[in-house]
Amino acid sequence: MSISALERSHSTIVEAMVDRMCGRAASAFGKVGPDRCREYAEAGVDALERDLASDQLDAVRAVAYTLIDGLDGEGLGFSDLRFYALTLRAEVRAALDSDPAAADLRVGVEQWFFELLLVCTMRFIAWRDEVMQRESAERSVKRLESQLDELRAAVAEKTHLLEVIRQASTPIAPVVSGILVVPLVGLFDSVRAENLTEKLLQEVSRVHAKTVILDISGVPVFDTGAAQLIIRLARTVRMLGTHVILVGMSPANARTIVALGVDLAGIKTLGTLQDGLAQALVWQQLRIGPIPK
Amino acid sequence: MLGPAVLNQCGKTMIESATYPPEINSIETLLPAIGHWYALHARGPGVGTVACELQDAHSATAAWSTGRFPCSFCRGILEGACTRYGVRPLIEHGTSGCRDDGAKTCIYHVSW
Repeated sequence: MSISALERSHSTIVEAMVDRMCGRAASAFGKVGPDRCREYAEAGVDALERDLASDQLDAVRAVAYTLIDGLDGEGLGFSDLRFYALTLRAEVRAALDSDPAAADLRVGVEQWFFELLLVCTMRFIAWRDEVMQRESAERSVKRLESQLDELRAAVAEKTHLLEVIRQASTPIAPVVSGILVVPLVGLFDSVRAENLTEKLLQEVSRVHAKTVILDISGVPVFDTGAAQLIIRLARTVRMLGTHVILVGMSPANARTIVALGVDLAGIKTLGTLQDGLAQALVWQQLRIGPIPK
Repeated sequence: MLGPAVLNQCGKTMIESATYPPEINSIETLLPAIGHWYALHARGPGVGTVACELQDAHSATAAWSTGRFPCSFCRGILEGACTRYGVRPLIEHGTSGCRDDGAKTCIYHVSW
């Protein structure tokens, strides 16, 4: 097919396209400027000429892809694509109408523009889907990050509360000068044992305690692990020259310790806190008596 | 505070339910008239302008240069001008900025 009529009007069509593209208000074309507009206009007319000359519809696809991919991020809208196709078509038709020899080109031109609109529409929908999916993914990430922040805050608050409870559940009471009572309440684990050891050693040094009474009546489960921790705590305290008395052992706990074969040798064990306090007073050569009248 | 979806619906419902002269009987006659009606009904200083120009048989460009209505409300008006006649339009915001973000004018490309 002879495209000489189109080739003669090539530059006229391109210049008219550039004028109209740049003059379109608030569009991607106006944003990118006349040079880029000329590139796209040239690409469109070139593709039309190539496809008409070869009687194929190949270059039209490249034009649509170049246009959409090239203007990605410049605010390209479907109305811009429609404007591009309609403007190019109008300019081409105007050029062909003025040339009587171009009558046989018109059918091919219409087919080409039909294909251009189809490809532009398909590619634009695919591109917009991609943008929406990306935005959706970004929103999901933000939501997850927000949830993660909330979880971190909740965990931090919970950790703080646990620390407060742990501190409150291991009080060290100086009942008499030189005698400390440590009532253990709740589960006795390694973390708690570590905290208590550090705290108790400091307190023993500070008040020069002679005896420490460990009351385990509030410990629900006294197994091998807990027993080992208590023994280690007692030995550590004894290295400072302080006696340790274990009180509050329940019959069930005593049976468990014997069954487990835990060696409590070297640690004085008594039934109640009252017995332990009495023993500590004896070691201190003190006694609790009535106030003389 | 009303969200953009509600504002959009307000604008759409407003223009869908308004009464027009008999000669206004299509999208092509309604859209270019919006600016005139706005100028007639808006009161006070600094009302700005609304201009809507047909590009071809099925597209138009509308420019809203008024600080009185948020962007989504104006989009709703344009949408309602088309849905009133049974057509769901494609409305795309122009690249020259949005009044909600401080720009002087919002430009919309309406296709139907």
